[in-house]
Amino acid sequence: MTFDFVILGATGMQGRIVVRDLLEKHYSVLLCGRDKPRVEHFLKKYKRTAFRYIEATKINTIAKAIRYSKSNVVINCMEGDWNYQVFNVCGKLGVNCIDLGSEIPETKKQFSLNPVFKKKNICGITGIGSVPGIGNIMLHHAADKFDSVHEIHVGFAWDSNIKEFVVPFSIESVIEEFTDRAPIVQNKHFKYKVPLHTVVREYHHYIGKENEIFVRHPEQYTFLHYFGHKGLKNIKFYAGFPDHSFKIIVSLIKLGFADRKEINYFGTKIRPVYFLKQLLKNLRIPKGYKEKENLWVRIIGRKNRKIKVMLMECLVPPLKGWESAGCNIDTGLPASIIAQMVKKAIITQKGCFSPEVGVPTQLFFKKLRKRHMRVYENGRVIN
Amino acid sequence: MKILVLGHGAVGSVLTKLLHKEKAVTAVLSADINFKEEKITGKLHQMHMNLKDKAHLQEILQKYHPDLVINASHPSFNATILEECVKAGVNYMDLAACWEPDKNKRAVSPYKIEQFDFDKQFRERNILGLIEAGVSPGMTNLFVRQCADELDKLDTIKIRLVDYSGTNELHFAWSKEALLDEINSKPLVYKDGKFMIMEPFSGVEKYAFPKPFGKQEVSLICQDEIGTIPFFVKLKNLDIKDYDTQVDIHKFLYKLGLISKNKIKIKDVDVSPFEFVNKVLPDVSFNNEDPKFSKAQFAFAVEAQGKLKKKKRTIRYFVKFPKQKDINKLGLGANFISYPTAVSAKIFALAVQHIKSQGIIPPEALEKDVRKFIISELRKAGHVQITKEHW
Repeated sequence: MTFDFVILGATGMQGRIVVRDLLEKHYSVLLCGRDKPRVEHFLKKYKRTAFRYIEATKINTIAKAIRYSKSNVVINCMEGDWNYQVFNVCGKLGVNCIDLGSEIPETKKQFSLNPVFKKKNICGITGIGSVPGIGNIMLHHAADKFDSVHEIHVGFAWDSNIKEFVVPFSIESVIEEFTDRAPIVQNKHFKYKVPLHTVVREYHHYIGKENEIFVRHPEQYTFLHYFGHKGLKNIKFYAGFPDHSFKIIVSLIKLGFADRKEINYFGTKIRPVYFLKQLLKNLRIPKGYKEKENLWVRIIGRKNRKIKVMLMECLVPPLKGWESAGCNIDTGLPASIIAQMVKKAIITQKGCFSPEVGVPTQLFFKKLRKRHMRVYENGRVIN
Repeated sequence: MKILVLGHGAVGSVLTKLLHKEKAVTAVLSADINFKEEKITGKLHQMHMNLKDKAHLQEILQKYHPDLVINASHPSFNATILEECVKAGVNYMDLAACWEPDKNKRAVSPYKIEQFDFDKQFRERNILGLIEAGVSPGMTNLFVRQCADELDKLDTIKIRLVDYSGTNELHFAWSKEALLDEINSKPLVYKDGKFMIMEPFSGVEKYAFPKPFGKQEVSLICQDEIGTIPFFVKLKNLDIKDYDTQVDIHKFLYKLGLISKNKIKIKDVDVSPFEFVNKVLPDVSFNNEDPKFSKAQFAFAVEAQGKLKKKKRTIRYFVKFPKQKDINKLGLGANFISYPTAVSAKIFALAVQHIKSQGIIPPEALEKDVRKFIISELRKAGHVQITKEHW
């Protein structure tokens, strides 16, 4: 059997969103991951699907799964640390690949594979989720309306109807975002800040006022890569969390759960964050819990010699039937949309790139609207 | 009076200093696992002791013949120390109970005050075991008795605590393990003459404290007072609620399961979140000198509702301890929790010589003249204010 898509990390939160979206659209999908029970319901419900066990540390298991699928589109939903390796394998196998993004060094390495991908006439798109992802495409849309772009502020802000702590995404990633030094681009140079020293309280449409911090994200690199020639000098990435979530995350950090030092628990060495990850798996989502999000990009530049400011926003409401996935739908669903665009040859650009280029913006926004995500340009809906 | 203080932690260290200053105290023996060498300074004698080593404890009791042994370490050592005190015939005092579930099917209360198991032996040896003799439990129990004596019929007692640290950030003003255990424990209430186990942080209400605290949100906490008071004071209802500026962080530790005792599997090892988190969390991190804690303060209200001369009457005692900035001036290295506990324990310790009772007794069972002595000593303590209202 030839599968339409192969999904790596299909048993994780994002992977399962992509799997569900593609299966509901009657595609055949090969599910690759470690924790089969988490996708058993898909395997039972849909005929055109199968499961393959893969181990990220054993890259040949990934190569074998891709070959087995006979698919020409790989959707990598694994942790970002594996993105380069997966791109490398796809380059060798000659299959298209998209992923949800990673850190700047990993992104740089992926971009270095551009000649290989071009030669094989395939595309490798990195960072196609919410931010990075929707944010980059909104910037692409906006940048076309500027003669020059000087400054970009980008970020996300979210909230929930029930003010209780729910693990927003991988708790390890959350804690790393709050503690790892965050790059900002200032006058075309990278500077690094301690996230918790950058707390500001900002208002965002649809969400309200909440705390924001600078966090490490690949956009600082990719924005500069694509818009440096347009005069871009300053880039800042803001992560906004509602008070009930922000307080808990900060508390966890202050209490020592971000500490990289292992704790000796009666002879077994355990990192506090690993303990936290295992413990929080048991944390139940409150009944009726719903999340909403605002993904935003503010561009400051010039048009016809006049200063121009544009705010692009993508408002993500709770999607009926997807409530348990929370805000994660705006990461998984764009990946599904882009994968389909690659499959249908709507995306024709070849090589390795991030979605500031190569993605037809209007069509992409239209697809978002079908999933109830509205895109605003200076407060006006454009999709 | 020669007093042996076991444990030199947040409370024990302050208690030792306070006792050292008392004329009635001729010698203070302070024993702790962290003392590496024996040291004698004036009437203060420091020595190493591992409380798991019963023989060593007995050896110390036989060698120094203290008039009173105070357990200022973890309550899990209560039983061991009580046992050795019986053998040596020495009076005993502690600050809290272990407060474990009672497995006895006939038990009236779901939690057990383990010290009462030694009552018979203490009586036989003609010695006293004054238990739960800190501030809460301790002074709170004493004021409950005071209220009961002032009414013809007592119906309801509300104990309302103020744990105002001046910040909502986590810190441990006393034993980390004991605090985590307290947060993790289900509160007990006494309602219509029956004990009931409640959910932590339930029973939320607004309680109007006297100034400067005013109306504040309080919720049920697990406190030892409920374990003894209904057995010594006739009443229908009793509950203990707390206004704590750290309540959000306590709730979060509890709700996230971080201090659960139900083990989880990590790396094929059964890990108790309670034990693991105990290792992760910082030790007593309350910095007395930090300006953000300068207004930190502990207080308690004991409100009694009942009848006096056939009319409804409410009596309320409100005891307010000094602010952190005033405690700092005393030069004891104490914080807003350890000072009230230690100063209360010191007064109870001094009162032991006036107590005629024998066996294991909590403060609410003390004789009237002893209680009078304790309250007058509390009034004399630096910056402690006791107010009484009735309506």
